[in-house]
Amino acid sequence: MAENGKPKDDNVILDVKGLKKYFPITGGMMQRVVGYVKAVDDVNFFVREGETLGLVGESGCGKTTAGRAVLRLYEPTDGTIMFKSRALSQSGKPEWINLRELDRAQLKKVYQDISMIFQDPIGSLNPRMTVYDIITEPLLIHDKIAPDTEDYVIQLLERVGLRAENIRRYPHEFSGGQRQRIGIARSLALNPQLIIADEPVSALDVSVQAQTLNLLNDLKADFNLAYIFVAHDLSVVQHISDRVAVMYVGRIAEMAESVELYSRPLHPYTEALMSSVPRPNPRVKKERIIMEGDVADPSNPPPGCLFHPRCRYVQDRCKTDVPELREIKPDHYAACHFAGELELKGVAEG
Amino acid sequence: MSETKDVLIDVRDLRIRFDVRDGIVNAVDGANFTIRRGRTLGVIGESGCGKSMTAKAIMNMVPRPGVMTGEVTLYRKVRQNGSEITEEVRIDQLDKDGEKIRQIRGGTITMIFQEPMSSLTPVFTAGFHIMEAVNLHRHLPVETIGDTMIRNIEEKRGVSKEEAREIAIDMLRKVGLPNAAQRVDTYPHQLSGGQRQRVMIAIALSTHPDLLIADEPTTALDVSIEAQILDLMRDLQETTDMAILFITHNMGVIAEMADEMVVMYMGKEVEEGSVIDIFENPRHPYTRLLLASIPEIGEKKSELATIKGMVPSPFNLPPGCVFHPRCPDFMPGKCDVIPPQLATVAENQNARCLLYDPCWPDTPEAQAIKAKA
Repeated sequence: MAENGKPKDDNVILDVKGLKKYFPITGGMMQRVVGYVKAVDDVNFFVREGETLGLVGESGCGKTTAGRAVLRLYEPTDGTIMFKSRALSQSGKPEWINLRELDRAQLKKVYQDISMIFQDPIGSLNPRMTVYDIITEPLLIHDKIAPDTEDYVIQLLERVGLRAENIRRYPHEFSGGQRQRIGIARSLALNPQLIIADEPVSALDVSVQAQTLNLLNDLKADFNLAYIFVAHDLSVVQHISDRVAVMYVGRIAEMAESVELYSRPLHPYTEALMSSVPRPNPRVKKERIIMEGDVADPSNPPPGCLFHPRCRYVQDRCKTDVPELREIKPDHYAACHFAGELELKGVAEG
Repeated sequence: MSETKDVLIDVRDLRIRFDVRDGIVNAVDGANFTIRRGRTLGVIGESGCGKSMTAKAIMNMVPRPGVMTGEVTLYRKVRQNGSEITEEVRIDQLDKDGEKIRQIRGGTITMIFQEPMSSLTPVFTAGFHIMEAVNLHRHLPVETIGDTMIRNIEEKRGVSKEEAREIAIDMLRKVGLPNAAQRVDTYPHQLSGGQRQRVMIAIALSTHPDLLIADEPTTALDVSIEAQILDLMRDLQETTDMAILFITHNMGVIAEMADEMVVMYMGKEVEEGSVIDIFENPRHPYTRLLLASIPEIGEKKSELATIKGMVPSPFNLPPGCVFHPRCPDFMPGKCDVIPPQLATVAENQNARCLLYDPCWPDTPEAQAIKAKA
């Protein structure tokens, strides 16, 4: 096992290396490929058993694409996705497989190990299916319907805080927060090891958001779940994640344990991003770091470091050399030529 | 401290009522507040609390079938015989589609709407939301961005067409829109959602309004752009004494932008006062829970506070205090019978809660309960 974002322990269950997802841009009369939107461009990250990895960044950074590419909902253009699968194991113990090397039948089996929660509580549930149908659909697909399935569904519903009598109701009869709970119950149906949650609370009211985040944390403890939590809200991500990876225009800028990242950031983008978040404390008049200009265009990225046109610490080297994601301190990775040399300000004490 | 600043808008006993097929909805149920020049009033609350409707009322834009009662007074500065006097305009009495209100809208008072697709309230049908989107587009012009901006700027700020164009381009640049000099001649539909939002903000700020009503102006935007826009609003406030009515569910933004704030729940103000006082010492149980339920960057809470239960259906409001079924400080026999009034709880703070109501309203029910206790 080589360097560069490398996990060094046995607890890792997902190890993504060199992940790329390019979307072709066609143009001209013959509809030829004239370029690519490099939505995800050489991304490395890993997730340990029972931990939450937050994947955070602004619009267009590639976090949603990366989450979906792990499951091959978007076919990756390149990269390896190593996963310690229970469902595909012959021995009964989880075995390492490369998700990209699986055929469709094998991939389908892995979807018992990895499930997904979506952002839109309205669009992600079929309005013509009852709650029972929605939650048992994964069981149906994997031939796991059994005589005690109804009891199992009721158990799941109650575990997410909904009452048993809801089992015959339809999505439109529920609030946004309740629909999200149904989606969560569905994602638990096959007893997964890892859940990819794509902006699961962004569409919810503040108080409902809190309930949902608490629920996700409780379930994580009860079922020993790992999460990839994709979101743009830095406060939410800090709260729920054990480790956080910050993405910028298709690449990972920084990745570290949550408190470490928020108190001692090593990448200028992370520093600027955190300083932009409005804090619910009226006495704090802070100095905000303004990033000049707009986010880089993923179909026409700048040379060298993607962030260099907006970076207040920019040097000549940044304009030509692409920085690699390096381990600067134990378990703290950053893609900046000067990581560790700059004195950056965090937002937390820790 | 806040008394020294001029009053710009005064709202008294504002009620907005919808008679719909399923019953009556009191979207706003007796709101009273003051907006002062150079100050920011924040309105916070979750979906269905009535905050957006309150904003619309100030511009006399309550959509049908809503009926608005109460007083909305604008204290407008005008030049008369060489001197500046303050003219009192009762906005609620103006003809909704008349010349006078249309002059005020877009010039004296401008508004940034919420991107309608980013949140839907449970009270209204899908059709209503679509209608809102259509209305939105009537304010987002079917002319180029430049044409709208230039016209409004010329009129309100009394400059030439060329100067207005320069101002427009400058404002587009200030909201972080790339290629501002070209964008000014494009149509709104050619932009992405986030860019359209920024154009809306530019249009609203470019006339240097006396009052900016911002209803969730930055929810659809990235936090780095949001930061720029909030700074821009504050700069403008400092240089032109602009008042801001800032409506949002984001506590962080309120803390940054607002001097005073109102917390709304089901059409009623449940707490109001200075932002610092309310954040440091929230009195109403709802406010306390709201503040404790938000993750704050830099502070790691182990578990977020939650509010049990759900927002009630507006057609089926609980008796007494509307919040009582969800309230951790619920007092049986009191809170479910007597609707509380706003009471002073501190020098710059009022809360609508029986915990602080020293003398209950003088109704027969209240007297009966008091007699029993």
